[in-house]
Amino acid sequence: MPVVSLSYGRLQELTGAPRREIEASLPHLGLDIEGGGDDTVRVEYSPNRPDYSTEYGVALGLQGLLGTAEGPVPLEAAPSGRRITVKPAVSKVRPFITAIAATGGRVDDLLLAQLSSLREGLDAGLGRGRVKSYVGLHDLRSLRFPLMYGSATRGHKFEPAGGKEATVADMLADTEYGARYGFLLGAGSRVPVLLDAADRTVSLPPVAGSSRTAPKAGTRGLLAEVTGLSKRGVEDVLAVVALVLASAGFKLEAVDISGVRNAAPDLAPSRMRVPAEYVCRALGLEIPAKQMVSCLAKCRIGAEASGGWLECMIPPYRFDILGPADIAEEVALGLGIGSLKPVLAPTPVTGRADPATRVLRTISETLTGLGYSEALSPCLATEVQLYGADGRDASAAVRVLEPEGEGAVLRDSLLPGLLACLSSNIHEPYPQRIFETGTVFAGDGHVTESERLCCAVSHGGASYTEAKSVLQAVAASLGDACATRAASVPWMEPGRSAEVLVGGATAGFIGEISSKELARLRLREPVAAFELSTGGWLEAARSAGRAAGKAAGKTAGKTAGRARKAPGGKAGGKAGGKTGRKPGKAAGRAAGRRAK
Amino acid sequence: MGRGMVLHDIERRMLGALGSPSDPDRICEETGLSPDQVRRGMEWLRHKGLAEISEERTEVVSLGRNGLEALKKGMPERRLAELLGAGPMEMSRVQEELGAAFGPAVGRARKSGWLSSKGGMISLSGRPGDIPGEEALAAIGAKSVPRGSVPGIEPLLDRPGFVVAGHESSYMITITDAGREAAASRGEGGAIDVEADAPRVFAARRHPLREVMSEVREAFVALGFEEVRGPQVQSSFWNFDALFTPQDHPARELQDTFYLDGMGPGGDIATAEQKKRITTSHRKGWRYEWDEGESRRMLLRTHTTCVTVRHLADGAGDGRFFSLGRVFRNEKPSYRHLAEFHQVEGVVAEKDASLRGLMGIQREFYRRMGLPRVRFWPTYFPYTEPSLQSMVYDEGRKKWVELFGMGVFRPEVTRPLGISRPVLAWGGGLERVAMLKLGVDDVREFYGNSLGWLRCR
Repeated sequence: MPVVSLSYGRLQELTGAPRREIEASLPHLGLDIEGGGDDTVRVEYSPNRPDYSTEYGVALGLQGLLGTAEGPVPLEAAPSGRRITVKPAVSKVRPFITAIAATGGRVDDLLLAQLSSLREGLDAGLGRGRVKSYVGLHDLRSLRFPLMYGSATRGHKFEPAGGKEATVADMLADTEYGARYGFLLGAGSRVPVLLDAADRTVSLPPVAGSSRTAPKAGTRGLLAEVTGLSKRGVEDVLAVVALVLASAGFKLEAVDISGVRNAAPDLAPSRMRVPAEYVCRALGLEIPAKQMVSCLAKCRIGAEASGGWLECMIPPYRFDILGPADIAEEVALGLGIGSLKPVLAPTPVTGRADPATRVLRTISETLTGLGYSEALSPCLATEVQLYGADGRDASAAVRVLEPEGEGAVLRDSLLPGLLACLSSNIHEPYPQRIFETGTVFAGDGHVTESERLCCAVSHGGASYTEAKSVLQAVAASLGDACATRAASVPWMEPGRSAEVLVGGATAGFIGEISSKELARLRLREPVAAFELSTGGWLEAARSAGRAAGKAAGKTAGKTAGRARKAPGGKAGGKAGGKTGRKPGKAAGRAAGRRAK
Repeated sequence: MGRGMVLHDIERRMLGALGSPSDPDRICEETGLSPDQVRRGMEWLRHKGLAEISEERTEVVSLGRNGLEALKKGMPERRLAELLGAGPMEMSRVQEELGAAFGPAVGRARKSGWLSSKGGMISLSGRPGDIPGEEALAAIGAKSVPRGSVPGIEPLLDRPGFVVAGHESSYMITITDAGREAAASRGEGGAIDVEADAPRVFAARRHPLREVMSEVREAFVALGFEEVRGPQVQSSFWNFDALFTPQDHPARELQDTFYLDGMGPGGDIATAEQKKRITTSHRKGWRYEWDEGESRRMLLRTHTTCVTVRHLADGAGDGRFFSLGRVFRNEKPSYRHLAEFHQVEGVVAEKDASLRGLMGIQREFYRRMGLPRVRFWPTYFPYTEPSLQSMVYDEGRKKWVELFGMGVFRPEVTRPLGISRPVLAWGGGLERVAMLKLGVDDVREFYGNSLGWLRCR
């Protein structure tokens, strides 16, 4: 979320409140205090409240909470006789424009800084990086009305603010902002421009404004214009700019817009009717509608209570208020979250953990009993870590796009993570015994996830036999059995590796890590390991749980979930994780029957 | 002295192996003790006067950086001679080929008089013959060898970075009379050194994070929540669209979300009715044209809310549900943030669900997790309204810490899913809770798999 720096001095000036009160109230506006200096405070504001990107907007909010000024800020725009004519040529690229003139005030350096922070916030947030809207601010006296929003060729020349005179084509090719926003103009030969009556360029939206019209300290009148892709979108943005200009002491004057689907901006509040009872229910609080009205006033929203309804007047810059839920939140904020006391109703239903949790607990109890500690590795790893071993094929690897960190590939096996763990712990006393349970991923146009268990043991005498003893103990603890059949397995020594069979189907692999692989990972002690699909057991426990849940539903009052030990299922998953068989459906069904 | 002397098991085994003076390697072999244990035993025995240790220092040499390069690629002059064997070459090309070896090669070749240069070209003017030190280089190889054992080493010593000198110590252990007596008295009294440290053993443990997960599960179940689970790979539709996050929202961009390369949903992402309702909600609320292609992009879930929301959408009805699982954010890991972590999340769909009720459940959950002091602040989340942020007091560090976010799902989220009741939702990172409970300061520690931490904490 965006962060902005505010001056306590300015906030004190604008609100008339002491600093201590301001400091205590900022979080109640939903502003997260990130840090600050002697006079400044850096706050994170929500993208739905761009008015909080300026001291003016924050001051309006504070005034409401502190009770110094309540109710909506009136935004009235007197007619000005100024006009912008919109040409049909812009309808394909950037069809909408809206504008307001602000007179009778004076721009100083402080206001310039606030306006620039506001523009940036609006262009990036609501404007989605100037795609949906772009704000232009101009010195009113540098313009001759009526303005014309139309199109020009890419050979059109002007001097952009902070740049040198150039053609549009050169500007797009040679400048940083041209490169960043030029693509928004499309590929056509003509681009949208805002010109004044003397044919002088005002703006090339959404790329740059003109240097001639840019406001400076001392400027006395401003034109704020917003171009974009929808009428509502540009008017929402303009309303925020208008609020800040009005708070800065300017008088607002409407600019007429004529042309396809465009019209003068409407800054009048919109009406919303909300049942007072809805607000009570949403908050869990019995308060009279009258009190809600005063809460809303503190949030600078106009409202009246009439016959169980709240008649709300939503200011145009509060476009984040979409419906009754938002009104309920405003009431809560006006009331103060601190005065909402938590209540705990009696628990009406019985809870239940995933039945497979029991299977995982059995596995970890068995393994910790055998001296194995549990490890936990990330799912994303580097390609070298996952596929660096001989005989490993990375062609089906599932990759993520543009990772910020090192991990770029989803693991298809748990073993590389445990080998990396052993490799980074060679200074620790041996024997080392570790295990991990977790998800692995296989890709074939779409991703299949499956659950695995991996165990590794390392010490001077670690062997295939030791690993197989552990494997058998795990299977036995789940009421199942397993067999092994000679097979070659990547990572492992030929003749000392095998596939694991559960219920006759391939469910994993086991063996001694090859000397070549040990050398690659700089492991000095022998390692034996196995990896096993647990999906069959987990699914069997889940379907037994479902069946037990249904049975419990029929005979109300009985406790659900009796089946303690999960009957063994046929587990899937081929050595090396290339293919995955669906975990044993038959076992699941059988388990379901037994549970009934 | 022998009588009454208490021996450590290591000392006793070493004395038994010291029939004749021995070096530490042989004692390791004979006793099965580790080199580290033998080293300690030597100190103890010497200190008690049971053995004498003699040290012999040998001057040794090994190859330095330039020496190792010459071993791999040949002596600089040899490489130059081989390069020019085919005829004269431009100076600049030779320089390019030899790199850092160019200077020494040309200098020494000129000195030996077998190189001539003319107009930027250099060529052989004689046969280089033997290069001094070449044989000594091969004799040293990649090992450390006693200095005196390499004939013809002198030319190498003159060249910078070719040879590094050092020394190695070897030890001999000889048993003393007192030692022999002590060894013989073994078993007489049967007394052992009851005060000495025993060898360290480690109790196997579950991962600390799994322990915290079990605790979280227990708290949820006690509060009437049922666990739901779902895949870690999700479509953008369920991860974002179903939560009223518009398709142009910054959170959906590549720098925040892990999208999968070349993977599709492998079927329909949702029912036609679900798609229609959700797209209508987007069009009305966010005013843009929804694109089905965008919502079919597959990603690693950024929260578990996609799982609970789908559970609700698929007709779960009223109830309390929770999920606990891995989530992913495309961020560079730091002590505060990980690209992969676990999320805890609960939803309540009940007739009388209210914000105060949500605060109550939240406070009770924290109480069960051993965090009794809780505060709430207003905040913003795109898919809940009203939204709150909770903070808990960290007794260890004496400060308030931000923990779970919560709120009531916006009607724009629930209505398209066919739910008319208010749905409360809350959740956050499990690691945050675990850091508080375990006093861990760097979140990376949980996934570092350091055995010292896994076995000992």
